[in-house]
Amino acid sequence: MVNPNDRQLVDRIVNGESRAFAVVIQNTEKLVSQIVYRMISIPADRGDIAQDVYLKAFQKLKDFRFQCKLSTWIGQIAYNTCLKYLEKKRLLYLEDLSVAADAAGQEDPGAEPIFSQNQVSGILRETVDKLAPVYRTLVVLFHLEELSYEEIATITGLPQGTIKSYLFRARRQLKDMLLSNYKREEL
Amino acid sequence: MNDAHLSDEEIQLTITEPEYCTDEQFGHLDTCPICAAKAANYSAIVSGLRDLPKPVISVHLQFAVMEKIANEKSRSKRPDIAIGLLAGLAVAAISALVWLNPELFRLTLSGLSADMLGLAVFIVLPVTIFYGLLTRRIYQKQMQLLENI
Repeated sequence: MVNPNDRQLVDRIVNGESRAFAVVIQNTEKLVSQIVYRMISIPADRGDIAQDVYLKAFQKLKDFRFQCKLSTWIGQIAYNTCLKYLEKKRLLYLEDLSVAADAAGQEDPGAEPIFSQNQVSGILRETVDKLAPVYRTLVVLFHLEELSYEEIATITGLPQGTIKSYLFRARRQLKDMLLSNYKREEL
Repeated sequence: MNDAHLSDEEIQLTITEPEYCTDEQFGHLDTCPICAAKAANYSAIVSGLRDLPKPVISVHLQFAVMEKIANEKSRSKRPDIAIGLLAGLAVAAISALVWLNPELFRLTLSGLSADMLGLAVFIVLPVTIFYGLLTRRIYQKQMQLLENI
């Protein structure tokens, strides 16, 4: 679906009005920050990567064919830039997923204690950081940025079925980690 | 009441995509404390995720990017300026020669002298080589950028 505002904006930039690119940055900065922040664990490198994302987007803008939203396209560039960075640094992105899948397969038959909203909010941030990078990226894109499965699939290149499955496992892991933390505090 | 507990996936779906769940599944949640507890915990997690603080990588990101774009543009304009300068110098040199030695200019009009031909080659050749190298460098840079994307 073509967003008329996207087309207008891109036309202005491609026709030489570079300053209009500032609007693109304003509109997409939160999404790019989320992707870079969740995928890159070294804080010092995040700023350079985010700049790199936008410079690539600017260079490649004339080739954008409006097959998706401009923000999704820039999200895709951000995701691929981070992947390349991780590859270059030989850092794993899809680490521990088999272990996570095993853990998610174990059903607890008993009733579990119910934790309150306040308890969750207090420690959820650190708990999300403990997830595998692919899980925390997907969780944030789906729950925080409220992107559709289709948009996430465009950004990450993962099939929608895989995204659903990873999201399920990620939420399950979050619950297990919060529960074990809750039980530790109870003791 | 259905005695079989809902799977973890079904419980998550009642929170994230309730439109895909059946009345039976919701009915079970109303009567089963075990599944209801799990649903309450997932609900708290999903609400908590929506309220997570949004990270800010750099408050100067927009400024830094726009500055780099401006630098990139001015850098790409510089070769044009250099070529213009060289061409201007060449024209100035020829004009000076003509002004200093009008006899030579007249001879050139009737038939190009060896000196003038040498001079023309001396000026035109470096400019052509410089321009060729410059074009190649710009092309390579653009290709590298495309490969990196």
